[in-house]
Amino acid sequence: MTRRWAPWLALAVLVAGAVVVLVARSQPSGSVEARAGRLERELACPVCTGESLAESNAPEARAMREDMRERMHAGQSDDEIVAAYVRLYGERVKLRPDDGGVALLAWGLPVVALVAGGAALVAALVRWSRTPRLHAAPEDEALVARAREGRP
Amino acid sequence: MRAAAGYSALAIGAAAAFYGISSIGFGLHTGRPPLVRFGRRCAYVTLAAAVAAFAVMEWALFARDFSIEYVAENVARATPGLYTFTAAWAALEGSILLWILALTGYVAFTTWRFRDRAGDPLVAWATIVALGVTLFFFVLTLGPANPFREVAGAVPGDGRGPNALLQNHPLVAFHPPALYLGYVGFTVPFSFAVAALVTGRFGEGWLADVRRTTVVAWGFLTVGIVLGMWWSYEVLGWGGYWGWDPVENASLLPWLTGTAFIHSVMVQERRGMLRVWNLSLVLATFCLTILGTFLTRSGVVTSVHAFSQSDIGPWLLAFLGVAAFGSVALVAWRADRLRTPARIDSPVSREAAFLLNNLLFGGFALVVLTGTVFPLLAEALDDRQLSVGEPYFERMGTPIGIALLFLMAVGPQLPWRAASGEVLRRRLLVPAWAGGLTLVAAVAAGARGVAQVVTFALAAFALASIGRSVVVGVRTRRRAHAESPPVAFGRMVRANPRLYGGLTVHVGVIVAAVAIAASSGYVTERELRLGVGESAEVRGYTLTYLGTEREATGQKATVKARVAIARGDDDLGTYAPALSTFPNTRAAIGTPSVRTGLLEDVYLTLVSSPDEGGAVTLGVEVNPMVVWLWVGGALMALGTAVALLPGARRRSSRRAPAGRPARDAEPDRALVEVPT
Amino acid sequence: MTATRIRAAAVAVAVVLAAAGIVLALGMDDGGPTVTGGIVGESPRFEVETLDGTVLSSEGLRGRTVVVNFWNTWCIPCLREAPALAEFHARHAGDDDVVMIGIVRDDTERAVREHVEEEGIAWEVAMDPRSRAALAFGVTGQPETFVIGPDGVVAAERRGEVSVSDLELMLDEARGRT
Repeated sequence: MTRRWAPWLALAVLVAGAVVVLVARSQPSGSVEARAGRLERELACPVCTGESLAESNAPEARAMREDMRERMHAGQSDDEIVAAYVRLYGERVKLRPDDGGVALLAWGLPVVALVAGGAALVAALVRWSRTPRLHAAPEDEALVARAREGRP
Repeated sequence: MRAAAGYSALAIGAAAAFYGISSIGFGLHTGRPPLVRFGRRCAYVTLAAAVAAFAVMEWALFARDFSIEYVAENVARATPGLYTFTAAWAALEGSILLWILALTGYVAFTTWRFRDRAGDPLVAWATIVALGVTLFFFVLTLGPANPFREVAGAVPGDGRGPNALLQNHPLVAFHPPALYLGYVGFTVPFSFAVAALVTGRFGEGWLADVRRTTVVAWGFLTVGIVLGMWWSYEVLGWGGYWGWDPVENASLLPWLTGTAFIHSVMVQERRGMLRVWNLSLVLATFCLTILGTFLTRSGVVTSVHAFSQSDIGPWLLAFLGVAAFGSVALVAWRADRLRTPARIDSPVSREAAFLLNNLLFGGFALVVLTGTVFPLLAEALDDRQLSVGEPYFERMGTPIGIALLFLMAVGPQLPWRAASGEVLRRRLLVPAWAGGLTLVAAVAAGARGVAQVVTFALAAFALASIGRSVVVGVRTRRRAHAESPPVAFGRMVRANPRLYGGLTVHVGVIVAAVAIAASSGYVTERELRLGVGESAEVRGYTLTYLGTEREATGQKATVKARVAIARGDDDLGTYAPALSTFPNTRAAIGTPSVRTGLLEDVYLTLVSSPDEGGAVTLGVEVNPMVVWLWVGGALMALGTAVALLPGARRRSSRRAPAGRPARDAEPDRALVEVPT
Repeated sequence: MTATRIRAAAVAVAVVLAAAGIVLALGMDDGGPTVTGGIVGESPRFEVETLDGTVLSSEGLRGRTVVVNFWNTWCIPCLREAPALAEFHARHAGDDDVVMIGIVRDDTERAVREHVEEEGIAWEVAMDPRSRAALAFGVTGQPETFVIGPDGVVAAERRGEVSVSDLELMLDEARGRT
């Protein structure tokens, strides 16, 4: 038993160690450039269709990229900067709907569906694996045969 | 004259589709096979009509027949030949024409393939449904999206030319046709699914009938999407290839549900399970292609790709409603016969892996759908203007993508029915260690980003798992047949092209996933202001600005900045990002210039033309691994082609007695429960 | 799966589809996006250089009522509203407390100079080469017009074309502020 599991245990330990180092190292940097780089991707270019500040070359997008760095150097937090742009351009500058209300729907709907689907799948698998393998009743066999033939 | 000819062709196509539907329907109803046969021939007439209409359009474009509004708006006298040809799908009306051409092609081909089963009600009903879809699109071109509408008033002396972005790169000749061949192909499985519901024949027969067409459509859709990414990368100049734009999402949606179907259909073929689910996936995939068309062409969402405002939105929405509600109603009506008798024996089995695969693909599709229509939802429910962009899709999609990679590593190693823990441990140990060591190596090399590094590790796991399958397969064959390794490999693939084609597609997906993770996580971006002769260094590359060139071709006036790229002492050549102006567009269109490398690309854009002193601003990005995304796409296409090769089993089944179609044969139990 | 469950699921799907259809149909009816931002009540800080080289800044203009119009030479509505701006400017040419600035968005200086000369535009015209003024006002297109009170606070804004009476109303709004 232990012999069989030994290589897997060793692998698990190795992976866990590497993941700890990786997570610790991948903490987002707090430098102005790193913060601005992240924020640029979170905000829409207000004069473009479907482009973020990071992607756009429009003069307003350049001005905003410059402006957000100045604001960061002046000590404003990311939230304050986003709030300032929302006041100017409306909520649509945020590419990630993140406040309550209807925005919850965007996040909640797929997550609820995935969790519910996953739970249903697990429940079905557990139910199936608990009941012993059935031997099909003759009418089941007949149903299968009919269905296979494509006959009513 | 040309307008009349083109319009007549479209009218003939519509009439043929209508006659075909009526004739087959009446023939089925009254039991008169000749009527059914006549109706089926109408499918060929619709193809001929579509070819004629498309040819007339090309003729008008090349002849610069500006009396036709579409021609006047989409070509100019100076438009080069290639872009004159592609102007046929550069705007809404023409794109519907291309759609019809692909659709009638599929329908005619399917009719021809099933010529021996003309009397089969399943095939007859499928033809009715396919011709119904064809009729709808023909009607669109007769009314609200008439490509041959004549200009009001005087005929202009010159046309406007295509949208500047659509006459800037030859890929525009390949991306839309491939995408449409993908979208439209799903009409065939849809029509068979509806036919199965109508006739009540849910045996696995209809699935076998449409499997190959579905795979073809999926392959074209994949190629179309990857070419779209490539076009975006080479033309748009922001250094990316996917912007989560509503129109891009619209092409991803049927791809996701289609991929789910291609997997789950195997469960039904083997076990006769998941009937409702597979039918729903086919029906949903078709509806999503129509939804995509609607989103692109109705102006309902703002998108860079959207065609100009038009009146066909309500038509498409109505058609979508008929297709969606009709599908749901049919499933509800046939619910009694759809109940499935089988069940899954063990959570550790191929079937269970496919179910999980479907859950993840379904969830991904729901994420994309929610994100795409959410701005509309927010406006309708709350009267707020909200946007959804990359951060949303990335946060929601990344975990699902990572879970799918994991499943790709484990799933193919699972046997059908049930696996013992012992078998699984034996099969997965080496691949899992390959993944684990990759993780450790990446961390030791100083890599950052949890999602990226985990993607690399799982990619190694999945690749090693596929490698193991291939090695074991070759070894088994060599032992049995005493063949050399290449011969054994070739025969193994020939014996089961579906499996090895599928695994090739998986390799393509894994390679693409690595490319996406690397290129999204480790970009270096700089903006340089350089005078003539000045150099700057970006991530080890020395960029020297040599000067500008101006040229004018056709309608296009271009400023090119010549930039020499070197790495250390290696001269990597001269590249020329450009800015072009077109008379029909105010803003200058940038054309990036990319130095493609196996490990990283140097991506140059010209941000501003030379000022009085001759200095230019250059955008420079160093993008890792991007070329592997295109390689992955090519592998997916190759795998699709391999999967379509006739397999050993299929060839032998041709010899089944003529009276009893091979599709009704019992599945081979020995193959289902092959000992592991 | 039993037939009843399949039917229940079908009904649920149909309901969701109907709701989605309504949302899509409503989305189609809507015209262009409406702007939800706005800076009435705020004090934008800006500094622009006019074509003749004078520097105008929000600080320097404190105490006067400022009409700011964003425009350019290729925008058709801007050209359409130009006569209204000219008439308004002429009416208030004698008012020392009123300053009118046309700030150019997304255009070349050469085109603007030619246009100003040809049309004889008499009010201040300034380029905004790095779009910093546009950003200060949250401009997303042109024409857009703002009137700032003597206290430096925006009293009124209009996205799109303005008429003389619009401008007068906006001016009254701003002059009330001290």
